[in-house]
Amino acid sequence: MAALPGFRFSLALSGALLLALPALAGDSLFKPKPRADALLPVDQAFQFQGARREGGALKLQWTVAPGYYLYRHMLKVSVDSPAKLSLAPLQLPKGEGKQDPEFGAVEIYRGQLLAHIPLAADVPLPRTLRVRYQGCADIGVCYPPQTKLVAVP
Amino acid sequence: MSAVLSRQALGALLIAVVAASGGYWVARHFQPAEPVIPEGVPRVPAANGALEGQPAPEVVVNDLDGKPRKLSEWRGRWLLVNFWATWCGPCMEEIPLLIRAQSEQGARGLQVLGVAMDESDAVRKAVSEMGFNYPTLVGDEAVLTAMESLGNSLGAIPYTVLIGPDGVIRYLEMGGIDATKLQTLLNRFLPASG
Repeated sequence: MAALPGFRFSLALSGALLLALPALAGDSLFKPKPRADALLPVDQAFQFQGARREGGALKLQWTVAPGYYLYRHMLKVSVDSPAKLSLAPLQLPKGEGKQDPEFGAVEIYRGQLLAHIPLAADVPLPRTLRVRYQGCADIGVCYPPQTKLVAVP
Repeated sequence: MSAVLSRQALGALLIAVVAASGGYWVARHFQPAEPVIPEGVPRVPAANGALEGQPAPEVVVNDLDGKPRKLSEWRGRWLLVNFWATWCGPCMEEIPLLIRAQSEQGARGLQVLGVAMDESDAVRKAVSEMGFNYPTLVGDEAVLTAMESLGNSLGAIPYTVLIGPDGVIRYLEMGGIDATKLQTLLNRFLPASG
């Protein structure tokens, strides 16, 4: 076995590896840690698309921008008008598990979120709902809770 | 001899490749995803850096007793204004650091001031349980207005502003501050000793 391939080959491969790593890592490994240099306004980060009546339920929809998330435990819906009307509890899909350093195990939503409230046939529809939600960006900033008054179609 | 050397070199190289791959995976896996700004949506600067070097505007927010307090009351100290809330995980994480900074750097002229965008009861509970050693103001719209006038138009928190004894804004930071960053910041601006 020739002696020369060992060292030269190692050297060449090491060089190739060094050159290839940045390409392999794309723009994440050697880039400085993301900073909050620019963020989305809250209504762009968490786009609430209002309520609609569909198949015996009220559907509420959000589009959460990439890099942001909504907390499940901060999603609340109540009847704004008429004041004395009450609704069935808000039904939410299973969220993504998150171990929050401060709040422990929580569920969060990314991307599309569709929630619904079952409607009883003998209960009148609310005119306006009060929808409350709150979320954060992955880079470590949080937006204040949002409250939207939404008309029920 | 050289065959042994080449085997050793190849072994070392293999370890390096495995280590690099592992490091790469760790970096990809644990680095937080950077928020994407969709096309057509204006990028909102997290903090208006143009305010640095400018006199801080007067800001009035109530304290926990409901008494209106002005930032200018703390003129003459290095005022570190920290906007926070109990519903904000990253805010709660940095509070022990701020408590320690107040305790250790107060003699250098540091005065931490918490401004919470929250319910008074929740803030009172946190202040008591966490042992705040600095004053805390609280509100909702008033806090949003205060933040906006101090360079944060998004209302996102944590948000921290360092104001000099002369009332001039020295530094703005959107997002959490870790121990190293806080120490660097204080060493950069505060006098070496009190």
